[in-house]
Amino acid sequence: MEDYSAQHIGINKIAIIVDFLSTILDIMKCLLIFALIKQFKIMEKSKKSLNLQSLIFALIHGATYLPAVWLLKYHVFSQPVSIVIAIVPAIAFCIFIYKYIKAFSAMDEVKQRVQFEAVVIGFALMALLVMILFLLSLCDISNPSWFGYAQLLGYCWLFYFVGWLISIRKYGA
Amino acid sequence: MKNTIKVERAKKNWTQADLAKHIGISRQGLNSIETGKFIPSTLLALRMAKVFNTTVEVLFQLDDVDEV
Repeated sequence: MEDYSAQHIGINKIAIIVDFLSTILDIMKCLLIFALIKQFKIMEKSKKSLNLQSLIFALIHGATYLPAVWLLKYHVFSQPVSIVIAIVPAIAFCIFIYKYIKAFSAMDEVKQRVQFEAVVIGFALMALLVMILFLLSLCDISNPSWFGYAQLLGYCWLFYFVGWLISIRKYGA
Repeated sequence: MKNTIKVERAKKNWTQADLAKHIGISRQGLNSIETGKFIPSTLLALRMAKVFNTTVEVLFQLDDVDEV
């Protein structure tokens, strides 16, 4: 009987400690979120920081994309875990696009034109490549090692930078 | 389209960076406007005219090829 009550008291103590620790953890989470929101509000005040933010999120996307590709290619996970790994870089990319659009609206009109033309040229070249690949696939000509989904993503970025260089040279900005 | 930004800037003894700061664009952006590579919006043209205390027509003129 005494053993049982001693055990019961012990369990109660552990439960109190766990409660206490979880409360501290919650407070720390709130403080962290508050600090992050405050930091972002300060950063949002200047135009330069908007450009920097989009660049940072582009780097975060790259930093999540490459490990995700490596993990999914060379390791076997259960399907839900694989989906989570695949979604992380997609979320980072969405945030990057959101920040890029915000930075675009804060740019001066010459820079806006340069970015606009870079995206238009990039999109047109990408559409051309996809169209050619589709037509060639109808003739049973395909080379997935050069023109797979992963490679197409790379071409997409390559075409954007081609457009950007053309536009930069055109406006000298 | 021709422009007299360089002349107006010289009158005020301003660098491209000074003018760019006054009208709220980048120095590179102003350079492409000044060299005629980029035609600014009405808003920017009016801002420029205001800081030079002149009119848009003085700052920007149509070329022979631009005229209808």
